[in-house]
Amino acid sequence: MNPNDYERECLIKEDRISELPDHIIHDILCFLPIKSAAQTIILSKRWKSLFSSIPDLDFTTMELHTRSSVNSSKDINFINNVFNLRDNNVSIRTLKLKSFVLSSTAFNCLTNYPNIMNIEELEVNLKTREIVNIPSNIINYKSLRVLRLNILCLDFKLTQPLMLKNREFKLLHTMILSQQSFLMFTHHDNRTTLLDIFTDSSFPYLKKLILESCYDLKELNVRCSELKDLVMKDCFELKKLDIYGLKLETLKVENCFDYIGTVKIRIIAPLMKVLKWVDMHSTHIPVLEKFNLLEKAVIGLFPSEVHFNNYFIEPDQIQSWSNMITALSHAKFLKFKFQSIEIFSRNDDKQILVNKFERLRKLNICIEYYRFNGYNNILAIATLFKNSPYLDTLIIKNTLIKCDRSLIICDRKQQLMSDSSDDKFWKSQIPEMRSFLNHLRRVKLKGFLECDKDISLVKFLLQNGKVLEEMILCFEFDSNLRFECQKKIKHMVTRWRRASCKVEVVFK
Amino acid sequence: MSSKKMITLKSSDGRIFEVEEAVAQESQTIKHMIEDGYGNSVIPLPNVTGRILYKIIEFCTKHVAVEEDIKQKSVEPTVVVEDVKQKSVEPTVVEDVKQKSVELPVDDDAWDAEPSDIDEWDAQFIDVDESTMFELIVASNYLNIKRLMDLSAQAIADMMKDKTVEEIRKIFNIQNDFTPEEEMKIRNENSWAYE
Repeated sequence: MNPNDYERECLIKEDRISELPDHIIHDILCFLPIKSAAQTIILSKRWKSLFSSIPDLDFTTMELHTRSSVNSSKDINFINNVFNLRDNNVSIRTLKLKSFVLSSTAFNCLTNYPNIMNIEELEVNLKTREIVNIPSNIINYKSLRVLRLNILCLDFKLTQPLMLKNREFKLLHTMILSQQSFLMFTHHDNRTTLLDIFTDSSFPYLKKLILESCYDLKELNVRCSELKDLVMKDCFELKKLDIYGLKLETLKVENCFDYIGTVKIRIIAPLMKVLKWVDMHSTHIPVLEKFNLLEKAVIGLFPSEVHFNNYFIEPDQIQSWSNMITALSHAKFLKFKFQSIEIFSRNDDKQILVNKFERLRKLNICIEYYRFNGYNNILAIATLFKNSPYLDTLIIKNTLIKCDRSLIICDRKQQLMSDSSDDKFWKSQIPEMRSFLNHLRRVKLKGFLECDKDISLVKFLLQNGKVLEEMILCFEFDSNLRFECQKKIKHMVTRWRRASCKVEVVFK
Repeated sequence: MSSKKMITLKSSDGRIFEVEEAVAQESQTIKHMIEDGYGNSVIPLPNVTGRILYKIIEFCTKHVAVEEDIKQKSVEPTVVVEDVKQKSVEPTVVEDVKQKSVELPVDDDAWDAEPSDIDEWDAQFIDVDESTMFELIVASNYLNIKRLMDLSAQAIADMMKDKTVEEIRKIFNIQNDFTPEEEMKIRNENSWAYE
């Protein structure tokens, strides 16, 4: 083919991509790692101007060279050149940075350009032994909508607080502070408390706040009236928490609070819908007002160190727990994780789980068979059943901490037809569980162990659940060894009398 | 079940499409038009051909259905409270009232917890020829359907990823309008981009 024909053929096929409007090509470039996006400048004049006017710069997609100073200068060079290439009239909308050296380089570049004033989304990730100082015009309180900071520094004196007096972050709706980045918002004289930062005068539109791994944070007040979502994780030196959230709908607190000494926790959130309170000590009891709109609550407690063997709660704390459970009694879905049930069982469950959960439709319980609690958790389970008159779905997840073979039924010569003591216990509970048994439709038992406690429960529910539709029994993982046992169990279960004619028993 | 409100859309080439309101509202552009009161007449979309509109409706319908499915799995049936007051031993029948107006959080303890296949569906959906992909990205931008905008932008970016400049030029047939001298200059000044 001679050169002219070839040229003509190429012209017939259109260049559809370059015809796309600027903002669409900018979107496409954002899905490329920034180094690949930078290479497109050579494609054509239009592409060069496109990259130099891209509003979103995400340097976290850079694969950094190794730590040796020779190689990291390549990365510094890259950042410097990206900024040099930029069209000065185009403001930066999004800026995401990682590594101390590269962030510092970027901050230096930006001070030379006036177009930094309108950053809407800022993310900074760094780990350093040096002084951390983010220029205040980069954390632009007038334009910022999303702020994500992840700073780890050895000595918290090295993280400089921002000058925030009279600064109103008018547009900020999402803030994520990890590790020591919270230090930027503390006062000079007190670096461990955030008492008057999260308020309407500073963050009037904050909707979502996440505080993660904020070690060193000891006291926190949250008072933003537009806040809808608050997540706190691994803030384990916290001693005081005071939340006043008029529009707060979701609160997740995981593994927080100092387990030595007393803590003070108060939460006022009348519109709360979802509460997650997991990996928490049983001594850390929040003071709550009743959540009338609560949809879902997940509670996961572990016992305080001192009384580990006994799961004992101080008598004065029992009332506090009772109050907490009362605050949650409107929930539609409750999940008790870790050792909550064990703790309640050993500590006068009747007083703690005192309310009727009239709106409860779904209950998920995680229980453990552990020698220390004497395998005794049916008291709390029975109380829950009694107090959940309209429960529809029940999920129980068993975890066997230590395989105690004496538990496993197949190893014992047991009279399978006669009633064990557990069977008798359940039978005695029937009168108080009428409503529960008249409404329960679906049951799922995960980690079903072939031990008499599980068998008793299954038998009880099958023989008395009048509207039961589905019962799913999922065997333990390593059940290959006990295949014969499983067959025996299946055989036994299918032969029991059932209260509901619709029920379908499924083994998985 | 009361019948759902239908919205009528008209493509640039005159084809008429009737879709449920929920599906139409996946497009923020159409949603605003409905809010401004144009929902009862035919909504013209002069920037979208019938062929592409058909595909977009397919996308929106699927995603609305998937969201409904998730909501239903976490919605708890309500009990008709009157039944419970009878203290009889007879089993009370529970009524399944699907509360679509209740906004419950997505329940990760869903009864039948299954991994969602929607990402696979999306990948197959966007596996189309170049021409269609470009039309989709433009149309989804005009109609303001974020999920489809991101899906198509990502798909085009994937075509460019890990390719040399020459390869990208060839794939998309981008004309190099630099003179050889200009190109040399840019390459030298910007060798940093190619390290």
